[in-house]
Amino acid sequence: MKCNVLVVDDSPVLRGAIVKVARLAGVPEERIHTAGNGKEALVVLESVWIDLVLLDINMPVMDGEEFTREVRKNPTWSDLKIVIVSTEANEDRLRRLRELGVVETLRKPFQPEDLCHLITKLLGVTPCAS
Amino acid sequence: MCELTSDDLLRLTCVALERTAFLMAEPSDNRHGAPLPPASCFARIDYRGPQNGEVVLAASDGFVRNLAAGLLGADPEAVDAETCGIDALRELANIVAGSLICALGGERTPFAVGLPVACAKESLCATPTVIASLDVEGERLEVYWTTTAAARQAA
Repeated sequence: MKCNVLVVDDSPVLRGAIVKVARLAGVPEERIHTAGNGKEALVVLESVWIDLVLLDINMPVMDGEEFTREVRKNPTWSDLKIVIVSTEANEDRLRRLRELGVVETLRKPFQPEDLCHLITKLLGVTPCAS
Repeated sequence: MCELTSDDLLRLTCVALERTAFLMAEPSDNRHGAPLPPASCFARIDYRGPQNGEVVLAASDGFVRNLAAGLLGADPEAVDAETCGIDALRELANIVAGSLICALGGERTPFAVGLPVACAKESLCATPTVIASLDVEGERLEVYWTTTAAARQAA
């Protein structure tokens, strides 16, 4: 399946870690895109069709909640699957994000296999042999 | 409001290390033999809510390399401590603070964390509320948790 994934996190190291998991989940490297904050992520969305966003919340410039709000304003992206990968645990904030259509939440620290399972479930890809 | 002990802080840090970077840690008190390398890398993050506070991590150079290597699935020798290592330490501070506020406030935590930053040794509070000192596979990691009220009293 030719799916594009966008990893949004202000930590370059954690972006690298999540990219690694996405590759293990079966997403080809050339179909994994990255951004360091919500504003950069919107630029990616405007140039590449993305099927799944793995999104941190607490980021500078534009945080994950504001990014999600901006995405949902655009009918082109109304079906975009967004998964929160964050330390965020504030229930009010998570409720607002669910109301904006976030499909899943994975709290850090996460087990890589849990993220891998989420990606394969949401995209229907086949995991790579380890 | 739930209070945390040094053991609680140690436990949640160990979970973060195992899940995030497959690193095993134990209390540094258990260590015998040569002392751990000194801390040379520091990261800080604050949180706000019914109680404000901050978490500062102090780590040795080797620890931040191992942490970044564990996150990336890379060879520690290939990791640059000053870029990848510091970034990894910042992210670990983020994760530890997130776990700490959940432990303080429960699943429906009213707390919110800020953005983690690299900092200098001078950022360490002279009288932290709680300290956890860990031996992470022969490298040093110290976790300093300070509630803002405690920091202000010490000033």
